[in-house]
Amino acid sequence: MELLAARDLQKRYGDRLALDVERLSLCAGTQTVLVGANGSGKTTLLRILGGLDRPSQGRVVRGCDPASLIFVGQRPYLFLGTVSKNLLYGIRARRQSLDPVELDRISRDLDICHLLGRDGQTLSSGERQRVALARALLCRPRVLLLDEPLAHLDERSRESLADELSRRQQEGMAMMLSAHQPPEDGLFGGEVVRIENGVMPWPRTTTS
Amino acid sequence: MTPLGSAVTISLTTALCASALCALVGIPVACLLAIRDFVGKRVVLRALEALLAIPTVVVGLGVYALIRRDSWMGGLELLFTPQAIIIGQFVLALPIMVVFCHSALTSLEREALDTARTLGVSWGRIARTLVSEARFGIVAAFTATFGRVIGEVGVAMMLGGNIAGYTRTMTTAIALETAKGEFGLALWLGGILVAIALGVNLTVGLLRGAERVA
Repeated sequence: MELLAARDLQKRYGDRLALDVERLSLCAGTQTVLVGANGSGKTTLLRILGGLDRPSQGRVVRGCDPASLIFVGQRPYLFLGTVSKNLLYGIRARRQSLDPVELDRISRDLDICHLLGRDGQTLSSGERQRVALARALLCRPRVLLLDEPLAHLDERSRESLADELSRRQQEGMAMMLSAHQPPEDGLFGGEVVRIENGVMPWPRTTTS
Repeated sequence: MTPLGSAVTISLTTALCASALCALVGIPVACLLAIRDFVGKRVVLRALEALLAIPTVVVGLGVYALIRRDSWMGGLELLFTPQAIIIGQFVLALPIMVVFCHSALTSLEREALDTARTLGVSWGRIARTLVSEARFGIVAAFTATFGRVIGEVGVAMMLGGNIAGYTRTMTTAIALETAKGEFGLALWLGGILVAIALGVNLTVGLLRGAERVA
């Protein structure tokens, strides 16, 4: 089942063509790793797919409710208040009920149990990243877009995140994450797609 | 009530009502300008910025033209009432509220808006979240709005008519007492006006400091 698709996407900043993607398709239960150098267009693509920016040309078609598509940026923002308040934000906005078992598991996996009562503004980059990832996962999205989520994570957190994403994949979530380099072997499954100067050839095997 | 007490009460009542109305209308308008894109948005923002410098007597004149007895709103009999002063002060200070709130909202990090948009679901919740994130700036906008309306004289004089015990504010009383040569009362009123303005700013500053420390 196709949850997110794009056709003939282009994004221009003045005369510069920052993104030129002919087609793209994210299906339920798939993981895609978007690999490219700095300035290659990874963030631009993810922001457009996440509905945060408009393409100059082309369109993005969602096969799911907009509320079930979540983007986590490479500099995660925590709202004023405690980590607990931040974690519950998305759930409350969606009027979802909190599953305490899931909260406990995600908090333990991402090693944020000891941070729950802390002021979000006092956390380090890595802690912010982990809280933002947990906050997104608690909303149980059907499509998760992660912009360089591994940048501030230690090895243990990376493995825990990979395990959680794999679990969600089996439940039907589609995920696309960006990285400078392909993650270590076996850490994330799915297709590795390269983007260079905004151009991304989409592999035929990844489409539905 | 003494003339001094009544002028202080009328000034505070009209200024607080006008500031509250400005907040009620101005904060949602600022959110709309900060979050949504629409045709003519830049023109609206430039126009609001230009209106920051509008003279109070011009606002008084404009509202006077609307509510004078033989105008289309004349039947409401608003002229020379406290309500007329509130309407004039609202028109005068609304651009301040909108421009300052918009500035506070847009000075949040881009990631704040992104996170609110991706997690917030509805525009109402996104706006509430951003207002909460920018609350220090929005309180400052309210303070600036209040400061503008409590100290203005043109609107209060033209639309209120300076009627003792009814529409005589501190500023119009100061103007009148000075013209009469009663410098003592005018100085007292001026002192109270400055104390109120400084007191409001000081209280807001202390509250902000306390919240940041907490």
